[in-house]
Amino acid sequence: MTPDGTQQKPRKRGAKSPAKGTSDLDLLRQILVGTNHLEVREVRDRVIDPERRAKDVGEVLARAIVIRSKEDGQLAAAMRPTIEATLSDSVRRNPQAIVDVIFPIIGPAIRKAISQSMASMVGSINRTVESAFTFRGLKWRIQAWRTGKSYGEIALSHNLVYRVEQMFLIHRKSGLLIQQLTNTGEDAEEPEVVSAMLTAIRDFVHDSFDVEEGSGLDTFRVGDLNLLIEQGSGAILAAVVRGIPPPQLRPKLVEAVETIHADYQVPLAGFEGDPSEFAGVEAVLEECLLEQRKEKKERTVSSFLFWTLVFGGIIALISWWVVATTRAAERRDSWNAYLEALRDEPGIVVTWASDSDGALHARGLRDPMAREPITLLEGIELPENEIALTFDPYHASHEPFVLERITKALRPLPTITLTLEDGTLRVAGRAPHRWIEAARRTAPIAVGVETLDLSAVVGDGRLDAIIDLRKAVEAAVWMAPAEADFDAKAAELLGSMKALTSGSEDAGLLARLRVVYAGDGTDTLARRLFDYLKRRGQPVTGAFPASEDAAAEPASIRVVCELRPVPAGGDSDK
Amino acid sequence: MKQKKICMLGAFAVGKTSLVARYVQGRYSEKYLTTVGVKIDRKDVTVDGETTRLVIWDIQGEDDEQAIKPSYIDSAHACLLVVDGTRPETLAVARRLKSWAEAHLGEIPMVMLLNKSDLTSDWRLRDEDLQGPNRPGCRVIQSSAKTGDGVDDAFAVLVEKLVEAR
Ligand SMILES: Nc1nc2c(ncn2[C@@H]2O[C@H](COP(=O)(O)OP(=O)(O)OP(=O)(O)O)[C@@H](O)[C@H]2O)c(=O)[nH]1
Ligand SMILES: [Mg+2]
Repeated sequence: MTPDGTQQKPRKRGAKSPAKGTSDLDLLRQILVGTNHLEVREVRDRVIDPERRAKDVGEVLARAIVIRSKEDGQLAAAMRPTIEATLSDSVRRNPQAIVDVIFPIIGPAIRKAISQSMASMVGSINRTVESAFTFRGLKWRIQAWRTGKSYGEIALSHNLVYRVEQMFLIHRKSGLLIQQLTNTGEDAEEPEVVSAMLTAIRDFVHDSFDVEEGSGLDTFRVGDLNLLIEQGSGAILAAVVRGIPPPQLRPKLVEAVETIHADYQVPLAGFEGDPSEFAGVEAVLEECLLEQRKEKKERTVSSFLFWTLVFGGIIALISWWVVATTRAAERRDSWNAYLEALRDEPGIVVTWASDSDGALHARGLRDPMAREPITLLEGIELPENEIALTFDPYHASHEPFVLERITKALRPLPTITLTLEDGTLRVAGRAPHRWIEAARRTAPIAVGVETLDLSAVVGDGRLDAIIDLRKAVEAAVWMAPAEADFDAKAAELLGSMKALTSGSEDAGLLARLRVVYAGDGTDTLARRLFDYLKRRGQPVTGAFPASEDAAAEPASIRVVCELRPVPAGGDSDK
Repeated sequence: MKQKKICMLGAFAVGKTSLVARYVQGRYSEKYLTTVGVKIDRKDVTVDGETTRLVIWDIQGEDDEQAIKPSYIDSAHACLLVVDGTRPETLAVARRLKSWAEAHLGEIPMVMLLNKSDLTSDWRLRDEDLQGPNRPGCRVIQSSAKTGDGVDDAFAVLVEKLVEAR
């Protein structure tokens, strides 16, 4: 379609051009070189315009990938880092997507792995136990002792037709071992030496007998061990077989060598002795670990013993499982009860809870004014340290919480009462004018307050004055005043305090002033101030404690004022 | 674990096999058993917490480098050239082997060992054989497979160069 497209267009343009009166130059060109120059321009446009180039490449991209992948593994090798990076990035950013994708296969995969390993375990126990308790087993044991071989080896040689016991993947040029796998349960001795020696022997034979390139030693035999070698351009695969190698083994090796060369082309070419570049190659070698056993002829008495053991084991396992699950169920019940209690508690919202793998974890939101979540454990049988709680702060819209927050923010005098009902904040009593103003501004923007009812509040100018005085008194922080200033400053403070006391009495309030001292008690000026105020009849309370962190701070003295309503029928405190 | 291929090169009976036996097993024997083809040993060395497995190819002694199979030194990461200090002609062999190996392998770490240093009365190498225009172009270390002198040092120098090259 592409060649057609390129030819069609210019022709159309050429046909139109005389009618439209294209430039003379174009006409001249057309006469001289036909429509060719338009084709050239078309092709040039295609190459220069990135948009069109992308479109062109896009059209052949899929096919190009198919063709190249068939040729060799370079494309995969080139794309692997990008794909891996993309994948790991994607997993980091949005793990859920990947979880969703692999979720359906992960369960079956785990099941399969477990059942396979169970099967092989039972199989090997079966065989060992079977022969261990028989006369035959005894005979083999003696044979093993006589020949100095391991019992397993002797037992196998009697049980097996053949078995691929070891696989070596060897870097062809250096003879260095890339990967090695045994099937005997024991580690091979010095596999690196074996692999280097193998290559050396192979090269020796190859060079000594002048065989043609690509061929060479591919089988050799030592006692009842057979060595099968399959060679690729970059790596050699060697299989050590006990018994007679089956015909299907060679094709398996060929296939494995091809797979390895396709999948690990890059690490093979640049191999510098680091086998970690060949992650996953084990799986390929494992495919070659074939084996076949002899048909069983006799059923031994000992299998009764074996099965008794197995059933005993299974029963023990089941009872353990029952006990464990009951305990787990009890624990889960307690956990659910606790979650219920959390959910019922105002100011606490549980957004997520999990007890998977026995780890108890809950997450949610908690108003700073709500109860400590852990205190709700009372009466529930759950150890505190087994629970993980993560609560983020939030502002609950329960009315008691809202009211408490607003009270904190507005700091009403005791002459004022605040009530909150169905979103209406009602203010009653006498209040400073300025406070009423502030309430009018602040209350409506508080979360949980919809309307503000000020009908029951009366403005009182005297209270404004008291608030000012309180501010003045409280602001006076005495940081080790100089000796000379003392009298003036003390008198000033005394004046404010007196005014506050009398002013609040007039307004029907009781001012309670407290001198708070921070320091180690050695500061005589502070002491003097305290005495000065007390002697002048100020209702001050205070002490000179050597508070815990007192020494760290410079000595200071400040006054805290608490305003109370005048008690209904009694005198005030001293 | 990373592996490195190291080749032992030198004339016959200069002590290549003895040096490897000293380095790997810590043993020495007066008996001379000539090596046929190649014998392979391995040893793990740890440098800066990273362990490297040395696969040592002890290649049969050969005065004529053409007689050695090139495949034996293929892809080697380092070479030890061994000279017998009681036989000066083995130095010339080592020189030839060195340029032959370099032609095959390019620039790789090499160390030259002047072996049998315990045989002081028979020592026939003179200092000027290795100086000025006769400089061999690589580290030279005196060694004795018999006493163990310089053996570990020589391998340590090679390993250090291999680690650096990484
Ligand atoms: N005194 C002394 N004798 C040594 C020393 N190293 C090797 N020999 C002796 O030299 C002889 C040859 O040693 P090998 O290690 O077999 O020599 P090689 O280089 O491996 O010989 P080929 O394998 O034939 O090339 C043996 O008899 C060793 O005992 C040494 O450091 N001092
Ligand atoms: Mg030798």
